[in-house]
Amino acid sequence: MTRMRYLCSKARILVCSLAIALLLFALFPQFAKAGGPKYVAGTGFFNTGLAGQPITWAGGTITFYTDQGDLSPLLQGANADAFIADAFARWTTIPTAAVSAIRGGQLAENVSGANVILNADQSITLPADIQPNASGTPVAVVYDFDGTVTDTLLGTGASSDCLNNSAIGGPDAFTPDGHFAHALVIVNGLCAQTSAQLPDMKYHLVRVFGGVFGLDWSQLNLNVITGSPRPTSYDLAGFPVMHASDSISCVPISLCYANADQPKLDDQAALTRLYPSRARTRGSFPESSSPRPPQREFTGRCGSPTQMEIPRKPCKA
Amino acid sequence: MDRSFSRILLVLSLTCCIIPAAAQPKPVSSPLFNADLQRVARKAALIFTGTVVSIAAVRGIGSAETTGVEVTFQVEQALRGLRAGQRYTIREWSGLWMSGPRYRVGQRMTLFLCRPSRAGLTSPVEGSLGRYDVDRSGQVTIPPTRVPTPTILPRPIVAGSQHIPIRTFSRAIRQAMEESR
Repeated sequence: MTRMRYLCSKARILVCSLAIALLLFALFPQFAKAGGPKYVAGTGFFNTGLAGQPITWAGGTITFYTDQGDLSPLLQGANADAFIADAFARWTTIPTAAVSAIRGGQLAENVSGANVILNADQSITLPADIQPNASGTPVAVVYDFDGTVTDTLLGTGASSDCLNNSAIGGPDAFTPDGHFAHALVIVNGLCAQTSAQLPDMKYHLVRVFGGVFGLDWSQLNLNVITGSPRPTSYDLAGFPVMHASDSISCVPISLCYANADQPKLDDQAALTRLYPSRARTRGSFPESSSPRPPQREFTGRCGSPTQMEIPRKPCKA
Repeated sequence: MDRSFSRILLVLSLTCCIIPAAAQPKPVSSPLFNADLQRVARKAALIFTGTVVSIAAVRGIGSAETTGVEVTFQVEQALRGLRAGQRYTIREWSGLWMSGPRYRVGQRMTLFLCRPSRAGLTSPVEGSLGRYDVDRSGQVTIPPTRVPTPTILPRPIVAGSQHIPIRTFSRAIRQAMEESR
């Protein structure tokens, strides 16, 4: 009888704890979703046993190829390439993450509105080396000098929206072993016309490249946007670069955030979880701590994202 | 189960239900949001509220490669460029489908769309500012990022998403369309 009572009291504590935890998550949902992977393997396309695994670049290495044209009158040729490399470096210099980005060379053409073609069957033809199956150019970076590529792909006038369309794109093909096969990024030259625009362009590129590495948006410190509770300097300092969206009042971005293009702790942790570096992590923490980054639950796209396939099956919990 | 334990559970359940409900902001008229609405309405070639009825991949003849996604809407309310009751199919670039917010069958939403390009592709004007979910009870969800950031405007603002009835939202859109002419 005493043992029965003891078990009942234990069960009661357990139920109460669960209820309180549920209450806390209901009241403070912002604590539930930090940065994490955008894509996870589904079933059907991916090899057996990979379902639920985050999708990454094999070996953490990205090889990118840049457009033959200029990005803008301000960022021509090699200057544009250096600008892109610097945006990649925001991620590749994170000491705890094993990622690298190497410029492999140039694309075979100057991509423009002229070589994005609508076929008679209503399909669209892009240059071969920027298509999802272009394995020789795993990451293609297109310099959309006059905004016509952006307008063609997103609709007329989209290129004038530098807050949302400075840089667009992301991974567009996967391999059955759970890795990215290809990504396409289109950089809108209309948003790099003056030197004053470049910090914003860099910021948007860093966010898009975060997605190229496989990161999803983060909801950490969302009070920086909502204002409730009023954000502290710590909240602002830790506000992830991978937050979902910005208000139009954040143009230029420096009006809202200092060091806007620098990945914050949450961004760094999210990338490290995707690409853990044993050597680097060991060097960064005391020997007694585990070199393996803590595991976490993540949210991501569900289904079977084969090359441009529409997911059919939802993820199972 | 004794009474005190039942009481604890009851209080917790009620708290779970009441506090989030009480925390829901009342519909407010934000000058900044109205400015956003005017700007988005001015730029949009198509404005409508509808429900997604089908989604299909677009492939070239003899090609396995998907170059776009066709999303068909049953238009319920046409504010610009369409007729209520018609079915309208938009084509979205597959890259946007892969990287941006997607559509799902049965989803009801108000969209502000760019004029389709020569390739027939379109997308919401200003990204998330051009698409609003409408729930089953006819409430439009306006995410918190549509309000000014407190770093430059230090007053506290309403936390979380706001919900306003679709009729109020449509009225605001019409007004914004008038004012943006």
